[in-house]
Amino acid sequence: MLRILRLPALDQVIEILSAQESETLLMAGGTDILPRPAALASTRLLIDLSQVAELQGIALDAEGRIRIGAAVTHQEIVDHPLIQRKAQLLSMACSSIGSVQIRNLGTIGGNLANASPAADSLPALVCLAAEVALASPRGIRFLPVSAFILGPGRTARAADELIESVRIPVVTGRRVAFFKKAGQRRGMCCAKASVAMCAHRHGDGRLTKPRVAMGAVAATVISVPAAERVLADRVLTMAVIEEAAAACCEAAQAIDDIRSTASYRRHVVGALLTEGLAEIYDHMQDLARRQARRRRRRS
Amino acid sequence: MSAERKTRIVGRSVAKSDGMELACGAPLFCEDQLPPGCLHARVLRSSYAHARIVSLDVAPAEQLEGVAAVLHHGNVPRVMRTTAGQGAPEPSPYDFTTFDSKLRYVGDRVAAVAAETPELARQALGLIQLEVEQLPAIIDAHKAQAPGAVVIHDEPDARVVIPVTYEPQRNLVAHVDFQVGDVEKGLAAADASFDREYSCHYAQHAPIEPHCALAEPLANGRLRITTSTQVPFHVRRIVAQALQWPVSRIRVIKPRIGGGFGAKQEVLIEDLVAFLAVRSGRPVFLRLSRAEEFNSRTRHPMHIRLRTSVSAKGELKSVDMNVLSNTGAYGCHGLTVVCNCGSKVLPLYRWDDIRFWADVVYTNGPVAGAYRGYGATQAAFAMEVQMDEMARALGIDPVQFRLQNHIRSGETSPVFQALGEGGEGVAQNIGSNGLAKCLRQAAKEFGWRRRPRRQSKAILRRGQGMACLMQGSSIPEVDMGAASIKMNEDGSFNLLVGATDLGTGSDTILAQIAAEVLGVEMAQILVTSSDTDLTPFDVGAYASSTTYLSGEAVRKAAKTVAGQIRKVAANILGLPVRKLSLAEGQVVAADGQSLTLARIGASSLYEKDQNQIGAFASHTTQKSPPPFSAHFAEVEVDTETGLVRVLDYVAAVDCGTAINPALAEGQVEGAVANGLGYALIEEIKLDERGRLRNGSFREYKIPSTLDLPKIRVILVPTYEASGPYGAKSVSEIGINGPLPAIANAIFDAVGVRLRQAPFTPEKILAALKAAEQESS
Repeated sequence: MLRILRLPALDQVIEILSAQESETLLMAGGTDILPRPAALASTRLLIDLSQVAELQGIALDAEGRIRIGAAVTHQEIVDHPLIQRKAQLLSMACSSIGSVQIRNLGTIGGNLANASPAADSLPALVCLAAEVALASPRGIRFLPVSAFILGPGRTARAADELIESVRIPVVTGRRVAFFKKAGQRRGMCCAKASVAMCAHRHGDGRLTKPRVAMGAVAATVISVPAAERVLADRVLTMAVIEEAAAACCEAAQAIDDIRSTASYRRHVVGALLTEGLAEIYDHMQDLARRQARRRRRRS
Repeated sequence: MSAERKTRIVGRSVAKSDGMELACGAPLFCEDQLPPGCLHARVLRSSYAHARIVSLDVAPAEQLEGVAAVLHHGNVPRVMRTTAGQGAPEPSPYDFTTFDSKLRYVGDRVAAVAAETPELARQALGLIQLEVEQLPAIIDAHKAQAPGAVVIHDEPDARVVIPVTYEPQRNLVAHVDFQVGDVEKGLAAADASFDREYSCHYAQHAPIEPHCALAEPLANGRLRITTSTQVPFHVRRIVAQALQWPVSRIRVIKPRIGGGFGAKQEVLIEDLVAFLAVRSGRPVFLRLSRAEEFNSRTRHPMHIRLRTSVSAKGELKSVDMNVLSNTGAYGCHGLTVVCNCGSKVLPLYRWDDIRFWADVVYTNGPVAGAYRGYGATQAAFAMEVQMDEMARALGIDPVQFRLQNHIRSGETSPVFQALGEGGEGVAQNIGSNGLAKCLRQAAKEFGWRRRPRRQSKAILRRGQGMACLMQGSSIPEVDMGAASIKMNEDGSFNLLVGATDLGTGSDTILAQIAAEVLGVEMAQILVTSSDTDLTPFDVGAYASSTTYLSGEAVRKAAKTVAGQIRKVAANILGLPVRKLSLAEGQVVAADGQSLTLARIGASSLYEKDQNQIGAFASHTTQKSPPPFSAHFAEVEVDTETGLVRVLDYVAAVDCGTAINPALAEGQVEGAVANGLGYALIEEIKLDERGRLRNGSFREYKIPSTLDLPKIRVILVPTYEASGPYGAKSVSEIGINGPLPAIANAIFDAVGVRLRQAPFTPEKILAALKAAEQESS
């Protein structure tokens, strides 16, 4: 017999989690759970987190980080001005999840808990150096996303822990970012491969502190330090882009599956990085041209 | 019907008659109608591609509380037949029985259970003990006829019921071969010749509603079957055959259905609910799961070798089309689909010499069946890609090349005579033919050859491609549609048709035809369709037949009724019949006198010379006039990711008179979307053991609105003298365009010829890489 509890407060959830032995399933939007009746069959207790007050909202926390409640939906993230201004990469990534209907139900906490290698939000969160806040009777602990995700469907969350929120450090200055995804079709599909990238942009055309992460080309989301090293402190040129793309292809540990092939995935992460960086390159060329024009007018 | 004339309701985009109630969620589908106490059925399916049942123990399932009946090969009579819903005697082999002791594909029936709830039925399936002897399986169609290949249908009672080639001991389902002229000579003698191979893949219809059926035993010993079908009358006949009952004991009703696309031209589950209802004495409902639906019926994968020759001036000379078609584990539609490869593609152009030869083989793969396009889709891909290749080799514009060679009004093709539904076909001259207009108008609308191109070194490269198509309208000298109309005292009419509206809008179109003839508004025509007890016979919704064939039956019946009305009016008014006509719900006399239809209805039923005004009419046809179409596509190929985006699509179609233009456009848009899915995204994949690897919408994707370009449809009116108000068909032809048009556009963009569908990014990148290596 499956019991379903919809709880309003975080401490109630934590209390039950610490008391329960096992076979408790946590659900927020349900977009990963409802299509899998088999998962529900072995569940005795289902806790609906969608109404827990402490899991809602997007705001700055005490330390000035962006705090996104675990039950915040993908669509809220896409639409939120703070995210659009300060963590645009996440807004881009979340906008490619499923369809409007799925984005209105699915949550950031759920996307993390599900730990799919192809999850769209994860490469963005890794690039943004996001941390997962885990609540338990012992209080709250923070884990970087890359430490939280252990494998396909496996996370570092203990049985009595609950994803409370995601925290994203706010960085100032001019930023560039993109999320690119190759799928079977344009909407409503899992990534064959995805690439997220963000960096600081300087007036002289250099990119600093670049972060690159890839989805669906390994057992977990992976960051690509080799590509980051190529891009760091360099002015973007086609040669640099090619070198970084090669590093992505090299880093992919892709497999053949029903959605695509290992060789396509290895190739396409390079192509996706190239596409995104080329857009940034074009954008920066544009900026440079406009600056030059302004200077000419002034003189 | 001879001359074109002005019409009032025909040619108008009136609202679909069932649109509002469907939009409001009225309980109109099969599953909405389950009676209290209805049992639920589930089917145990083979997980082996090829095996013989050694032992089957169903006792534990039978003993489970709440299980009402369990069926299997040991307790159901063996009656060889076909699941193909075709006219009798069927051109498909009798190689199927309700349950067999041999399993021929992953998904084949082992047993069926009816229980109080779906969960109990599922639980019961888990209790059935099955032991098998596994046999070698054939998955690759090319290996089906290899020496020493395992025989898939070794049962002695598999047979054909019409005189056609059938050699199951060689896994050969059908063989066709005809030649006009001398192809080898023609190929050798011409200025240029081409020889290429093409292949098409398994794909599923993916109707929004899976197959479902409800069988209810009635107190009078009859059985009522409510089913999501395209062929209610064939369901009645085939279920009667399976049960060994007279047809009279079965009534079949088709409610509103959620799409078919050919998958429901198959009597796939009705026999199961019928047997279970008879055994249990209770109503039984079965709905296939989506996983089962993916493995229900598919499109025939084909391998086509096409050889052609052409003169330097661009006159087509000889064509040799050779097809290997994979029908999977059962031969339903095997022969007729492959015949369509020839009969719906080769007559499009004028050829001096023609050869068409084909083998249809059994494999242990999913069972192929009817799927919109019905063989024409696969063959048009080969033909239209090769036409593009020829035009380019000769330096002739592909549109010009087709204008030069296509069949004209008044001409015939020897193919019509040579290729029919298995046997010989029916000779016909082309009547209406708007292909040249389609080509010109679509080329203009599309801006053929006037579009800006990106440079050849760019990552994103654009290209344009086009294709020409034809299909048919019904099966000549085989199909029959009938209608009856009776008049009520308020001047409304009951129109009863056997024709099957599967969401296509045929109820609306047939009502439009009746309303046109009777001079009344749509609201006055009350349509009842697809009920074998109430409505006259119709073969059903397939072979692009309903508007052309059933529509003409409706027109004839309405014409007779109109005559009867005028006669009654003539008596009342004391005027000769010839002075009276029907318009705006009245009978109007030349001198200005008029009578409302309500007045006439009341008079005929209650007052004078009492008589039910009404008539039956049937229609068969000696020809199958082809609709024609020209498709143009623009794509953008990302040479780095291999992704193809369809930027623009124009489809011009000559369907004769469009009885309802909005519905006709909808058919074309839907067919193009369907075809774009087949060209770019959709493919059923099997593992080496014959199991579906992507039998779910999680993995098997169909195009979403985001994937589709704006599809611009141009209806090119022509007048087909043999059809109702000049109409031909429109429902299938559109699906044949995207494969060749997109393949040709991809070639235009990046210079690689793709001859193996679908054109996935993986394949495109591989082809680009191969081309690069070749040129370096």
